Amino acid sequence: MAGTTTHPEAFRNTVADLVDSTLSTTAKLVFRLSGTAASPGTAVATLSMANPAFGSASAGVITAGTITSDTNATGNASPVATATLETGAGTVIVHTTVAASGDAINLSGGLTIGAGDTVACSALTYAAMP
Amino acid sequence: MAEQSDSNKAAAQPAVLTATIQITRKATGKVETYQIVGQPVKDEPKKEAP
Repeated sequence: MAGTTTHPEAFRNTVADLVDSTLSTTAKLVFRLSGTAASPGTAVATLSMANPAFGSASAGVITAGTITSDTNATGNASPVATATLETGAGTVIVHTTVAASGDAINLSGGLTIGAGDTVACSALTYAAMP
Repeated sequence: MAEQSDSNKAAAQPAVLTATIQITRKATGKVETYQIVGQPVKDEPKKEAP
């Protein structure tokens, strides 16, 4: 029989805050091609996060502070498939597959970022496992 | 030896990352806005040797 596994809010806050503290003082948000946490895909755009990267957790959710745009993205002809939150030294803390929706998305080719494009992130949240 | 049943495994649902991004195209100056929803994934577990 399938069941549902959940965690108390206090523990979810602990996990979310641990993500933030582990990212440390010079965290990056990186959009990438397909890859894994152990072997991340090619970086397409790299944005610098605030110090600290996130505010304190509430209801298991942390919200990022101001994120600095990548004003000259590396870009790639292939679509963005993953994103990582990582330390300034490049240690991946969160690796996520990306599903995007937007006003100009190419449904057959996915979300692509071109060389020299500017990539900004105006809102970012991480919700710990329920 | 028979494989272990999944019935005693407690698997939590994944965390969720959400973001709003804007891409300003170098070629045209056009700004595109996207909502991104991602679920952290773990690497495929390696099967233990028998």
